[in-house]
Amino acid sequence: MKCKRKYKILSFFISLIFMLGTLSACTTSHKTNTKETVSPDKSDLIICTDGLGRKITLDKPAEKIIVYSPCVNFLCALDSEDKFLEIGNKNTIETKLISQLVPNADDLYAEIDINNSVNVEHLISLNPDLIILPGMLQGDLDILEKANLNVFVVVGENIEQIKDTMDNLSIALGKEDIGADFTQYYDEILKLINVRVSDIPYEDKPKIYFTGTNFLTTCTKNMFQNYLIEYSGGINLSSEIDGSSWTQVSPEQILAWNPDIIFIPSYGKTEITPEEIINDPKWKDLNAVKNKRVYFFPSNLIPWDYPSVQTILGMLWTAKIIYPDKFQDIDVEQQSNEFFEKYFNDSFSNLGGAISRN
Amino acid sequence: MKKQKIFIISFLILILCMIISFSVGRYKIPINTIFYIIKAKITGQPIAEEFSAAYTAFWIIRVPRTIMAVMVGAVLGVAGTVFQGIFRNPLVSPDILGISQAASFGAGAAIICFGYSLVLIQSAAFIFSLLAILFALSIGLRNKKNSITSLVIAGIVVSSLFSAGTSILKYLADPYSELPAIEFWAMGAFNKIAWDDVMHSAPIFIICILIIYALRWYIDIISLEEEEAISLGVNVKIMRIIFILLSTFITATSIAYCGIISWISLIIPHVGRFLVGPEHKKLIPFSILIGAIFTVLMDTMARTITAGEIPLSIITSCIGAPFLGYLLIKYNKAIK
Repeated sequence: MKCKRKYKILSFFISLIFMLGTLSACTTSHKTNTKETVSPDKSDLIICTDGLGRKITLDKPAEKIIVYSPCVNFLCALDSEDKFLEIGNKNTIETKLISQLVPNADDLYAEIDINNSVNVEHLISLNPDLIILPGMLQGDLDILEKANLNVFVVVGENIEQIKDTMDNLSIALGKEDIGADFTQYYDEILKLINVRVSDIPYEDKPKIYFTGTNFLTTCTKNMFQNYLIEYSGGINLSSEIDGSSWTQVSPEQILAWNPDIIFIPSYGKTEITPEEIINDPKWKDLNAVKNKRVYFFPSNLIPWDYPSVQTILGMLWTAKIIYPDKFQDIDVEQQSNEFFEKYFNDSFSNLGGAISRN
Repeated sequence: MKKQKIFIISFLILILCMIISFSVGRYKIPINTIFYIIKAKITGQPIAEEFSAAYTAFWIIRVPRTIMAVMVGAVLGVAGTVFQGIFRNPLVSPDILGISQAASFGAGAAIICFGYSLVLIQSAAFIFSLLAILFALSIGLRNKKNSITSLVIAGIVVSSLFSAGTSILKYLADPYSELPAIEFWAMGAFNKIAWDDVMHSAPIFIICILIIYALRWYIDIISLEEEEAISLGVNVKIMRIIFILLSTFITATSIAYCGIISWISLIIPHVGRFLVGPEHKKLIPFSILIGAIFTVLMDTMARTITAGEIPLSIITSCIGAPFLGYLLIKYNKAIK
């Protein structure tokens, strides 16, 4: 009896080994010929630099792209919606816009949501020309490089990095004209804001509190939201907190800060509304509440406050909210329509966008 | 006599800690203003306009928070002592039995499935921790011969399963909107506490603690050999289940309001034993006091050191772990 069981176990292991063997044979047959073709002419090579300063060399503009959220909007702005092999997660802050811009988006989402890591074998099997990885996933960079895949890491925690990203991605995709145009557009708007707010003395700048997914969460010093507020002429109260991700604060701290303006982002499953904050007796002594300056940060279609293509609109909007008098001539709605028309081929309002969320 | 002295001293220390906690914070309130607010509150006068913000910071935010920290500290201390007593195992705590992990899984699942409704998060945390202890009991009590160790092992099984579940949730969570909330829940904080939270949870905490206090004699009997206890006429199994359910109930409630605060329920019974010895008659009231003192102090640090709120479990671990090590060394010396 005992002997029989031993054999059973042994045969189980043997069959397991066979199964593994066939499995690995399968995967090796899928393996594609690695690109070792030496380009005869060096001038044909495309060289671009990613957010980490790595040089990426391609022998032709990338045609087959894998991209992870929240970087899909960059590729859409570069007119490359038809080049996607896969676009990462289904439920992200840019899904609403992507589903309208990419007709076959539903077929392109990864089978399961990936937030923390990528599956290298799966990526090899898709045989992409270029993988575009958000900075959050750079922990996987090493293994992807070893697998001989071309990876572009997007780092965009300030405007310069966003411009650089667009510039270099436009090279990688062979859309240099769009990249150049984009940089020019950004420079114009940035200058427009800077000229009007740069000479405002520090004491006259309003103090701003930027909430996260709930009212007691806020952004920290190294986050884009901090940069955005400061560039647009405000003081970000939470800039005294070091860090690069959302953090919690105590309600007392918010009272001590006494913000003049409060922004609530439009993403996340935020339950708070400006009305709730204004009507909450806890916050009645805040300047922002007294003066009813609590706003949803636009937009309902895609957030304007995180590092992405449309972020410039967020800066313009912020500047106008902070200094309505100085930006009287600026119509953010019209500007956003033009911007979307230009880079996403349809106007903001046509795509269902609205600045105020109601 | 000597123990009574320690008891009175700890009680005074608790009062002192509460006063410290009332008077410090990120919103600077001069001590005069605090007295003014308290006086106005007692006499029912309206608060002057200029002190309105100080009133909010003090009365609406700081006071309920301190009271909650006292209650949760007492609860965690008592729960840890009860668990360690009835299992005769100084390594047991609600974390070991899977209660905390299950509660945090429940909270995370609620965040992902239903968004930020606090009621749903709290009820999910609560339901899952009850589920966890039911699982642990039903697996662990199967083995009639050696129910104590097998219950602990069952708890470890349950806690690993739920922490794996939490990892899956974190893997699936949207890094922009959901992940920070889940992570913060897993590390505990008192920053969302308001008066209604205190009012809702206080009856549960106080009643359960009073019951445990009244029944504390039985823990000493349960922690004897099972045969001995039975010969004393105590239904060990039923008493043990009553204690487990009560402790689970209060632990889960505390997690539902403040997230997981690690270390307190593990370390407090050790501190108590060091001070007053292993007898539960004295150990239970002491763990209530010491748990409350420790938690109030930790929370005061968490909310005052930096502008951001430091997750409580980070502080409790940083201070709790070396402290427990120190106690162990001292304890061993004392035994020699």
